Amino acid sequence: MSRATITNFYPDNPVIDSVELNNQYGQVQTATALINEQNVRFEGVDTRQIATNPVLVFGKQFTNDYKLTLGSAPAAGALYLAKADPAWPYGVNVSEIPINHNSSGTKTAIIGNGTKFNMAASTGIPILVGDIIRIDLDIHAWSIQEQIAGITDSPLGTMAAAARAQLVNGIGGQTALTYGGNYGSGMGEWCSLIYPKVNITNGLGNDANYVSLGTAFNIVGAPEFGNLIGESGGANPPSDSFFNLRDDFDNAMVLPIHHMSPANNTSRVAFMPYYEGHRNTTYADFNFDMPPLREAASIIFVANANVTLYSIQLYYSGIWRLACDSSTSPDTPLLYLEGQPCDPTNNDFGVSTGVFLEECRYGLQILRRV
Amino acid sequence: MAYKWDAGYVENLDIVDGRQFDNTLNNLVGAVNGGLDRENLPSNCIQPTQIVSQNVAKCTVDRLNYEENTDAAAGSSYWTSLGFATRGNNLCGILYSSMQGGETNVEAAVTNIDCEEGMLQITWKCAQWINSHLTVYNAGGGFSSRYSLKGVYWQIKLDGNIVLNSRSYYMNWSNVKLECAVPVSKGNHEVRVEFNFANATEQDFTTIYDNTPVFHWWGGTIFTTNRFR
Repeated sequence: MSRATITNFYPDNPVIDSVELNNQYGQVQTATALINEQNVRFEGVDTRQIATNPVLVFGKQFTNDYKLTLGSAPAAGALYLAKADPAWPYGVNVSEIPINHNSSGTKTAIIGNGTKFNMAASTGIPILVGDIIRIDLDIHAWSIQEQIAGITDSPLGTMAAAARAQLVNGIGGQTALTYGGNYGSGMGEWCSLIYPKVNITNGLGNDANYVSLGTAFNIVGAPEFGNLIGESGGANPPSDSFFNLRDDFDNAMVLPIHHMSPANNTSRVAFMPYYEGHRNTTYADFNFDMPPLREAASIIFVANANVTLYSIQLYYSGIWRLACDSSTSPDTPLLYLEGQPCDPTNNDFGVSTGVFLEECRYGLQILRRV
Repeated sequence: MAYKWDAGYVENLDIVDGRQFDNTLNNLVGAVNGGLDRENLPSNCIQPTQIVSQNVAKCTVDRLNYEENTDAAAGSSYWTSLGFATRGNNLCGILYSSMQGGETNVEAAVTNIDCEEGMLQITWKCAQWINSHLTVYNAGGGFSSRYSLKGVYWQIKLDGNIVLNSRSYYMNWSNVKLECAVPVSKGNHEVRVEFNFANATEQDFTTIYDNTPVFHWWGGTIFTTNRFR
């Protein structure tokens, strides 16, 4: 209540002392100290009276700031491996890697480097139930990894052209070992996943404290890609490693890898990486001159938990593959973490190329009272 | 314009008339009791916590996935369930036959929002997959002999009017991120998101129309922000 209630002296016109007069002043003082909607005229306020960002609680952009100079190649620290890569150093129970190369292209776990940033010093930002959180991430993918030592990972590797062509063929799928029919792993069903994880524990930046958006903000059904570890080679992916694409997929960004069209003769395959930051002369007689690829996505959700958001870090989750469970009705689209290289000679029909990432950045906006 | 109080000065030993005093104070109280406006209030005097919820802007977030029919490719040697013997690449998505061969727009999402007069900012995001290699033409084996580049574009409609046309997407995986802001009147408005996949070719009709997924999307979010006038 902020209305001032006063008693007129007229028409009594009494002789008053300080108490009555001070009461009148006190009413005005009380009202003007608690001005609210009862004091302000209808539509009496302009936008200039409203403080800057009345609904935007927080807005800031973060970047690892890794920007290559013209003509230079990315550092080894900017390479993010596929789990199927024989060089995968993180163990079979790990499926995701923090994107943590800094402005020099060196991997580091120190907070404030790579994509691991505290949002507001080390004190964090209080998030309330009902807040709308928007994370806009964009990735500058520089190139896909070239030949992986020891295996014919790329269909452009040492494999005979005819065999490569068979690999491309989307009909069939598994018994391309003999290259004798309409087999092949096909191309185009693989992608990489990139997504943010958040630290709601403290501002120290320990990687173990970063959890998925679904866990942190109590989003039912949100994916926990890090828990779907797949299989590291040879065997089929276990059934619990599949992600049902009918579930909430809203918290991840997909990154294409390469594109392959049919080979129409024995000497050429129409293979095209979607990004190739330098002139690539590794692939036999093919020189790819593709530019790097900037891919962007937004993640927007309503917080369903009161937490303190300290920090965000982006993660790279290997190469995932489109799949299907046709034992259901209707058929269920799935994704699973690819665990095999592309090595038909050894009966492996996956892809294990890594990708080099250049600048990786994200913006955070928190909206309240909307 | 609100009342601005001019201070009066009472000299020592003055006798103040009650009515005169009342008039002065009533003018002040009249302003304080609901008459204050932009003339009285300084810039930036209203802080965020003093604003009633949804009094400056109103947002809606609608997260959804593709819920219509999806089909697996009908290749005999694809694995058909989770118990397959050798790792393969079965695909699953929307058939040409489920979207009229690309001849028409297909509704992806629709939402209604009660607006105040002002601007409505509409954001649509999703991930999508296009069967851009379509090497399945070579069902007879041997080298693949035909290739058909496929693409898709998206539209956002407000009350049936196109307010955003996306570019065409050709990569096999991509993120769709579309955003526009349009003026709206007070009342309920419908936001509709549609996609249009590349028309089936003559060859498509004869070979893949009803047996090969060519497109799929998921992870869609419609985010609207109605900023009041």
